[in-house]
Amino acid sequence: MSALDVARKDFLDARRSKIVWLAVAIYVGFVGFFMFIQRSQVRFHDTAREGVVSVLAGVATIGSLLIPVVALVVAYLAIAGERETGSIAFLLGLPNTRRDVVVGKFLSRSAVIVLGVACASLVVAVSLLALYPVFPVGTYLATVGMVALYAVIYVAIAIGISASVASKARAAAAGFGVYVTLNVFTLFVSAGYLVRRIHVDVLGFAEAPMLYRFVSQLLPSEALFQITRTIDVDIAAGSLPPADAPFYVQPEFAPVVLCAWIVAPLAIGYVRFKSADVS
Amino acid sequence: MSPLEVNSLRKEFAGGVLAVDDLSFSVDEGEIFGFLGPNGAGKSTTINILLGYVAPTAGRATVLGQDVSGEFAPTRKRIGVLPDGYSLYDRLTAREHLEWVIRTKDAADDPHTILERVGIADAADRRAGGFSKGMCQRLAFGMALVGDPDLLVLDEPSSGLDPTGVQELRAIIQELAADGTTVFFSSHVLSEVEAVCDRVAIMSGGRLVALDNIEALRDDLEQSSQIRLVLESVPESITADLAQRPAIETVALEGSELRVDCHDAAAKVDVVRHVDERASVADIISEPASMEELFNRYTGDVPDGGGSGDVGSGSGGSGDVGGSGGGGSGATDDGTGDGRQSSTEVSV
Repeated sequence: MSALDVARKDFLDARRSKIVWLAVAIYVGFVGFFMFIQRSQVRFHDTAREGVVSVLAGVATIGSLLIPVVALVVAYLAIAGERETGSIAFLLGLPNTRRDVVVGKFLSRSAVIVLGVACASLVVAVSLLALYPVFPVGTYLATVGMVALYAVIYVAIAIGISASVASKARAAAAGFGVYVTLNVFTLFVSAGYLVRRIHVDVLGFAEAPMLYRFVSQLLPSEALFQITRTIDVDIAAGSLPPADAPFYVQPEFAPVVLCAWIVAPLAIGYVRFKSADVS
Repeated sequence: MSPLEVNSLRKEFAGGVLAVDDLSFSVDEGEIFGFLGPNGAGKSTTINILLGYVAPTAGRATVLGQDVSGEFAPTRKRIGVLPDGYSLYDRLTAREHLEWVIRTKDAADDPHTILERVGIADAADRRAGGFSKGMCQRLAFGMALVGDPDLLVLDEPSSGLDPTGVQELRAIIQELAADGTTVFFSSHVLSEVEAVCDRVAIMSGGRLVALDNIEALRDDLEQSSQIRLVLESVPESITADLAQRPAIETVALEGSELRVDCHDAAAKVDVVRHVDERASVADIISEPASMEELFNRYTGDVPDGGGSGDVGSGSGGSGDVGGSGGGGSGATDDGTGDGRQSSTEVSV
């Protein structure tokens, strides 16, 4: 399969990129620093386990803010960069389809970011063993898995962007726009709140709380917190939806949302790249 | 089956730029086909279409029996590509580049053998980021050779190569062609194509202006020659007078130097006599027209800038002589038509 050949070569290439190392190192360093300074916070909790779980929730929060930046840096040039420099002529001059290129790039950059998350997780594990009284294995694994999946979503978004545009500058601009929209803007205004204002105040409909909840949970970060509820309620703060609420606001629906965040950007990128003139 | 066939190909880019206009030609199996044209003639766009990088607006391109607009990727196993204006992967070594190509093509080549063949075996484990232009070109050529392709598409292959490199490249190309590989070779330098190609297509302004074997082009050349006269003073209507004389193709005046292209060598004597009666000649330089000039004639290019518009082009009553200065700028559009006309004239 040609996509694997693309991925293999691209992994070799990305692995040697200093900027990729720098982005991953900053993230890993930040996580290590957090684990170090948070060790004194455990005693403020009722039980040691509760304290450690709250620290792990903090690790997940750091991830939700930093991982998108790292993933976008790691992947935004994957295709657009090759189009700008012209090395794409080799990639497409070989028996690779455009789909092989998109899939291969997604695989290799995902591998890079998952390795980065693995490094950070190792740092977390070592600090838990050395500095903390307990090691809640279940919560730890849930956090690691969640952060890794979250990272892969942003790689998919970055690859989608990279496949859609022809230059580095546009890829950077689009990546920045996505980050601000999904991760910075939503710190101040939740998507559900925004929809509610439009729905009720502008369009004049009756309140529909489940719709707003659904919209809020469409964000990758929110969807991830939902999915962790099905694994370990400990690290997912906030209220659960009522049991009689529609299926699409239940935590069990979150995996569908997450898959959509991986598939949709890749599909859009592929469609645009497929019909693009590469010259 | 022709390994490369193009029918009524047309490519219009966004913004209405017509890069390729109704292009048709085919390449025979095992031949070295030269693809010539000045920069911006539509060569690169044509090659990009042939390789499936760019989709044609209309028309059809078939490479190794496969329509490039269809499922073309598997066919690329049998094609070697040396693109123009590429960049290599700076962080990968020469060997890694080749290993990747070999794996992707399911080929059985040994990277070292190929690196030796293109003369950079000693740089096998160095990263391409530190390569000179010539080394990059050698590596890229090596990558094109992987898997013993049936068709080699080489876009400006000698760019960045030193004379030795160009010779080595030529030798390999000829060797491959002798083994039955079809070679599609693009260049903007005629002499380069002349040395290796069996047939030559010349593109200009998105259209094909000539398609012939190299001997026929040479015959054209032999029937044409140029004389240059350095004058002490330039009489007013000398260019117009000359252009109306028989067997004279173009007349150009630059400062005090008069350049006259003739259909046959005998006409040169007539030119000297004619000018000598009207002005004092300081120097006479006579030489056969170069391949470059022939090329320029086809593509409608004016080699030395100046006000040397095509005067008269031999068509009986050539009254449009006065436009020798201003005619040049407007001639770009129908330059291709002119080229065609003069080409038929030359071979008559």
